[in-house]
Amino acid sequence: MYKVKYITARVGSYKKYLSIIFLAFITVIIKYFFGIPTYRPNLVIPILIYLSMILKPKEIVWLAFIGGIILDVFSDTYIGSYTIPLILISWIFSSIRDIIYRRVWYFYVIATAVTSIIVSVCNKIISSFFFQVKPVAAFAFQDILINILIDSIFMLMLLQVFKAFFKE
Amino acid sequence: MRLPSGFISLITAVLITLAISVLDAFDIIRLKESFMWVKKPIQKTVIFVKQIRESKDETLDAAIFQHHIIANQKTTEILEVENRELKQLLGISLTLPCELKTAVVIDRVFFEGRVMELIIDKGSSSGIDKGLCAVSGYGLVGVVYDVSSTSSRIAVLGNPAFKVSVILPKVGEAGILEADREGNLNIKFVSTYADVNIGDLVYTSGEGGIFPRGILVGRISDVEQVSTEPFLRCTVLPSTDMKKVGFVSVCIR
Repeated sequence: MYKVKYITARVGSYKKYLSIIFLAFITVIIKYFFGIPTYRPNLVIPILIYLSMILKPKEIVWLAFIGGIILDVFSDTYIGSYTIPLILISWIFSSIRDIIYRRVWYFYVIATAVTSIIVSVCNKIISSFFFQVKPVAAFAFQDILINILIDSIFMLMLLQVFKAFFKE
Repeated sequence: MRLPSGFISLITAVLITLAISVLDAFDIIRLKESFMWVKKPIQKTVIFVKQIRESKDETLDAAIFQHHIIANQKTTEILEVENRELKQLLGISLTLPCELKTAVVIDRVFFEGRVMELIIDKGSSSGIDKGLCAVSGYGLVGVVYDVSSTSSRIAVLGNPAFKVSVILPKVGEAGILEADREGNLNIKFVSTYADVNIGDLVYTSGEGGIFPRGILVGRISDVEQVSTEPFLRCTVLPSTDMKKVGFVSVCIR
């Protein structure tokens, strides 16, 4: 049985799109500003993790699609390298959210870390597959770890901001 | 069989993404190029912000550099003054018939705005003893009256306890130089017949054996003849400014 009580009504119809687009562009600007291809925060992951806990799966899928497409268009990789993992993960988290009894802060951090791992690994695989770039395992592992750390810290910092913004 | 909630949306979104990806990969829709109008302003803004930041850094560097230059100029000025003083001191040391120990003035003792004592950084461990004569590059300073192992105290000209036998070579007169309570240096026992003028040089006479002969003491700044007194009142302006002197040489016998 799939019995879920969604609380979509609390989230404003424009706020969720606005926040995703805003944070996606912030991520793009950070990438251009610092010019470092690997060590940069992906602010779309925290907002998607947060929204997947309060939105229906079919809504979160399209939000992930918007965020992922923006990241893909403004990045150097193929379109889909961000979008597809983000869509899948946010749908999974949104679907299993009622299994999770307590939504404490470390749950969000762990979920962000898991998402960050998957997105980073997908990016590495796609890069190596399409661009014939074979990443050195140690460096790839280091990049992934740093991305996990950065994204988790941002999740931790932004959690209260999201709660205040969406009036949860 | 009931599909999970949002499964159709998921499949649709993934398929759309794959379609866009394929179309873009084969240069059919050129999605990335079509968003260049968004990319370029972002990149230009980022470059502009970076340039502002770099220019701020450069301004800060320039300010720090300017600060260093000013500090160096001040240091150079101080070194010039010290160098001049040491050269003077070296010059006077060549004329004196004694061995000199040069020391740095580390403190001054004031009384009513006048310097009474100088404290120097050399003491008995450097061979300095009580009663020795101290000179600067500009002339006589005073006499050592207290010595510790690493420092000494000098009673300077202007200290009422300090007296020295002097001569006025121009007129061939001798006298005793001492300070009054106001700190004025007066020469006692100068004959009223002597033709003493303002600006005449005053030297040590060498009488008494403490001070070598011929050390410049100062210039006559005032001459007064009082009818009831048998001697002239000659006031002397010391050649050494005790407030500014930085190095002192002590004549070791």
